[in-house]
Amino acid sequence: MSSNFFKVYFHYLKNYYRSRSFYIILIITILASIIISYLTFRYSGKINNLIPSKLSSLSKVSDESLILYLWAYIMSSLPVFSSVFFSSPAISSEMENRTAFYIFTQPVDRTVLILGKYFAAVTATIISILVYIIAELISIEAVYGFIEVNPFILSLLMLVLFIFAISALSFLFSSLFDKNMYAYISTFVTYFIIFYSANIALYLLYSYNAFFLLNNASTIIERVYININPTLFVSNFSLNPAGIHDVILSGTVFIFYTIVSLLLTFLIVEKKEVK
Amino acid sequence: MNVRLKSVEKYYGKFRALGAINLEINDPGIITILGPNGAGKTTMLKVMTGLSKPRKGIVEIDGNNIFEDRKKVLMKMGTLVEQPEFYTYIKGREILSFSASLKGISGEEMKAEIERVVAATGSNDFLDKKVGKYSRGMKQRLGIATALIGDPEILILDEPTFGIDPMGSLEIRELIKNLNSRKEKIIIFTTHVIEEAIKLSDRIIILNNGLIEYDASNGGEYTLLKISGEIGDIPPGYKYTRISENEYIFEVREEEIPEFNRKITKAGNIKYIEKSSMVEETIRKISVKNLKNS
Repeated sequence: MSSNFFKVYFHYLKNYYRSRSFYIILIITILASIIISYLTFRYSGKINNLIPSKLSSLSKVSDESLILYLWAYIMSSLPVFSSVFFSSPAISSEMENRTAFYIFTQPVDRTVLILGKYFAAVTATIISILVYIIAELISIEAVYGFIEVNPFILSLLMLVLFIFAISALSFLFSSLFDKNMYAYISTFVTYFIIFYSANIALYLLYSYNAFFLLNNASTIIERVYININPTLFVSNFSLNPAGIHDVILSGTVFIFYTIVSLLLTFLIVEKKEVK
Repeated sequence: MNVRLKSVEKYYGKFRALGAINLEINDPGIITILGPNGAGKTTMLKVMTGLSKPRKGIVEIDGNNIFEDRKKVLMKMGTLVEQPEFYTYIKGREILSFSASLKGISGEEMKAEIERVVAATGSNDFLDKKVGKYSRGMKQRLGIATALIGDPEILILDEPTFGIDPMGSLEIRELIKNLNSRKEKIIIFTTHVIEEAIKLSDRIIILNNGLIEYDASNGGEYTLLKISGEIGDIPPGYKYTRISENEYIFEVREEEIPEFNRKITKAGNIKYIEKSSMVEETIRKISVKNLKNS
């Protein structure tokens, strides 16, 4: 099984990194990197001056933490777009482009096929975001001369887990449809409309922080610097980094989404008819 | 090596694509599935290759249920179902390497195997280009090449000459003929070209509305001989239909016609013999029936 997994993985990875989608997401990442790098260089030491007076408590936070928070805030949204490009059409495109007739008649288990393609999509997403991470490292090192290793590593670790989770969820949506457009729309609508509205509604109506929603959990990527959850209208935020409890909770949510989504995807694809 | 379909039924919603099909293929050779559009030809191949699961029935390849031992079965099979499509950013040669590696072929053996299928399908000129730049015919050739990888015991080809120019079609037909020269493989292919089927096949199966209308079992195609005259004793061992007092239609194997002629001339005063292909006759009947029903 493992040798077939690697054959499938490299085959799909090749198709991903040569694709137009890969270069589009790379350009988006480079643009985001340029904008935040500019902000880092241009406003280093003056970032507190940009904070509105209502958020004056933020001025107590170090300049570097605020900048790192901003870098991480943008970084946490990049996997959502990448997964729409790479993972949302992963299975639906096999049906729509009729490549399923070729790939599903190869002597390899469908589970191995899906797993190989999934890891290829995750790799392509990580590679495309790597540009942003390198730009962050260079900018912070250039402006502040050092970077706090622990929160930075923790943020990256959470980012990787989030990529696994959002990609798995996109694969699940992709397995439900035979048309790419439906898979794209479902991923976007679920993440940006259903998750966000449920998160806000639960908080405003019941003061309940829906930690189990993927968009909420993804905020841990920036909350390891300052514990402000941008998906909620919270007034009593903490200027300290998120505690280890929050990190474990979010990590568990990512792992849960990954495992459940992949298992459901395997089941659906195993029974999928190629029409 | 055999292919067995037992009471296989397939529906798409309420539409019956295959209705209680029973089919056994035990001997190597070329088996052609003929039929009009929508007859169920491609559905039958999809069911045989595990792409589509029937509502009822069993599909066994070499005693293995395709839906339970899919990988094991596909290891022995080369398939080309529908018009083949491949990943746009992958080169033809990489697709062949991938297919070969999944069949356990590697290193020098893989190189030789790719060269063999490339030479057989005439796909050398475009193999190092990405598939996104291929024409319909190029994709078809690449599809046949992938099916041939690993020299499978069972080949399933869905309209293999589709989209290929007349010269190319001729080459593909020759290729199928050559593959059958040693009678070691079961080659199942679909077509709607009657001449192609008659020229190539060891056995022809005609499908219509999801049912087998005609199955010329192994041993050659039947010819219909219309006899007019007074026949005393009908020679035994021949299937016939009496269409009027002095008119009969006999079903005779092509190679037995001289012997039949000798016997029938002895048996009576024969005025007229009209010869037609059983396949052509069945297709003609199906066309008339479908036209009436439409």
